Amino acid sequence: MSITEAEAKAKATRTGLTAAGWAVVAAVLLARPSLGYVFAEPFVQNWSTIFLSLTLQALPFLVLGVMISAGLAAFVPASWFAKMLPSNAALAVPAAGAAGMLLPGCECSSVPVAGRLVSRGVAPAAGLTFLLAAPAINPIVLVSTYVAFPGAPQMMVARLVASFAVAVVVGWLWARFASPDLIEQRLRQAVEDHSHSHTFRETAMSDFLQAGGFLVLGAALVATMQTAVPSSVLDTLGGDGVVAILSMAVLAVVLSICSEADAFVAAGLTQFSMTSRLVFLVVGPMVDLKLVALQVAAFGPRFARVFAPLTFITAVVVGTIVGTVLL
Amino acid sequence: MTFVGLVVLWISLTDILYRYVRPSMQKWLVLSGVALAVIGLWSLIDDVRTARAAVPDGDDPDDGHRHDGHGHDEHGPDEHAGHGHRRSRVGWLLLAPLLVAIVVDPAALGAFAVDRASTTRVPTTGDFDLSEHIAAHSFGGQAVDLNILQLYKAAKAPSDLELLSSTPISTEGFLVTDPGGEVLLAQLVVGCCAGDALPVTLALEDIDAAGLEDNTWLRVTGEVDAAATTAREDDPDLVPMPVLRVDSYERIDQPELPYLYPA
Repeated sequence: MSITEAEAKAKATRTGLTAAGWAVVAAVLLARPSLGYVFAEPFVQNWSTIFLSLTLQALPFLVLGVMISAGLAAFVPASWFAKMLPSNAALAVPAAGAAGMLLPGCECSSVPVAGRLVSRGVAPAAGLTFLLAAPAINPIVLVSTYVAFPGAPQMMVARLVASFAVAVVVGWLWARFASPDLIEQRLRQAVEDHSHSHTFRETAMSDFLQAGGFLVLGAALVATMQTAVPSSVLDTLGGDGVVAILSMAVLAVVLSICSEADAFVAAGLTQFSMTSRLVFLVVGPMVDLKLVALQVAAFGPRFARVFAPLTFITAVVVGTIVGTVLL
Repeated sequence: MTFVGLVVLWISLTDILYRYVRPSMQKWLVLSGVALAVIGLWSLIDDVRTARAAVPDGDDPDDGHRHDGHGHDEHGPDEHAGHGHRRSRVGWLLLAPLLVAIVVDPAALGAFAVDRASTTRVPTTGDFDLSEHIAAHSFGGQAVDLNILQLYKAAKAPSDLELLSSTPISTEGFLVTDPGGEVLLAQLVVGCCAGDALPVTLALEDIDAAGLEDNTWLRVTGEVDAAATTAREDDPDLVPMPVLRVDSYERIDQPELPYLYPA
């Protein structure tokens, strides 16, 4: 069968929903004058600014990721990936981690690309290593880390080493222990027989709407945390020990700062030890609220429930070891 | 999706953008907006065409096949329709930021954000040569223009702090009255987007702030009070908040770029 009634109906439904969406927009615009005092509340203003800025900041990276993903689906045959990566998982994982260096940008690009790689037949462990490595060890992020810690170039080295190690260790653990049914293919499967442009367009649309919807959820969550919990609670924490490391790790998850900017924030947190700040930089691009939302979009909630804690624990342990040795 | 693209274009082609992200993001946002709008429109046109072609005589699958010229689809009809539905459902959340942008149209972060932020997280990294800056920016005894972040960087070094206390300077920011009643002049430092904003503040001395509300933008001229500055912080690892003895001030409009940007 091909474009049948079912698909035509689905498309008609979509067109109908588009009309309904415009109706909602119109209704809210009409209600605006009577709700003005609510919108002027500092809490609402602050939340809205952070919510929008997180969404806007992530958008170009998400679009880049979606375009690459759609390009892979439309123009690269599935067999090519099998040829490119070593078939042995023990080797494919570090190779995929190194490939992460090639994708400039932050975590929002790497999730759709990794999702597409896995749906095109790349071993999940390798795809996930790429997902973890790309936002943490690309040149832009390393340079911004170097600039943010002018007196301590070893921070950049430690970040590179620790992030790469975490990505590879998680990949190996995944290859060895994870059951394949943890990953739910949520991305639209590419249909080979359609024309290239049709596949590209449809894949880009559905990937963007899927990932974008979850990005919005993540951004709303982060904006709520940032607005509701004043960061001045940090002034009461700090120091050297395990508490500092754990609080920095949790902070990285909650703040969800993009990996290009997190080094500046970490540099300012001078009351924390260097090792705990390294943990902040290693955890942040791999596990944060925004990112977990995007991972749910790509691989389903069951996946995220296993993958996020696994990555978090590995990142804290590896970050602490590397920090103790190098910093 | 077209709508998403158009709103992104509207925001990124106006000053509104600067409330949210650093200026260098502009070109990427414009590109993204165009890409989304084009793909969305293209798909919409295709959808309408397909719906029109399939609805009148959609009972024959082969007929649909010929109409669209699409090839064989290995997925069942239900699965395919399911994809369409699922993507519609989650994708609708994208309307939320659009509505917030249009309806709330929030201002740049201000006093509320400063109040709630940690006071010790001052991003003072990066070198700053105060004497060179003064040499380059001082014209005939006029006050030297310095932003608050530069003041912090200079205040790190005791010799620069001395130099600052004998040089009239001029700086801008918005007014924040802290819970203790002290009057501060603040700016927010933004790395990527407003989500990572960190406040930098000056304590203002000798200012009569009665009648000035929080978030009022001011240009302030005066000298740094070195002794009062050093006295504010007993931890040598932390940069003390500079104290400015105000000679004069004037109200200004919020600058086009409402934040400071490191490095």
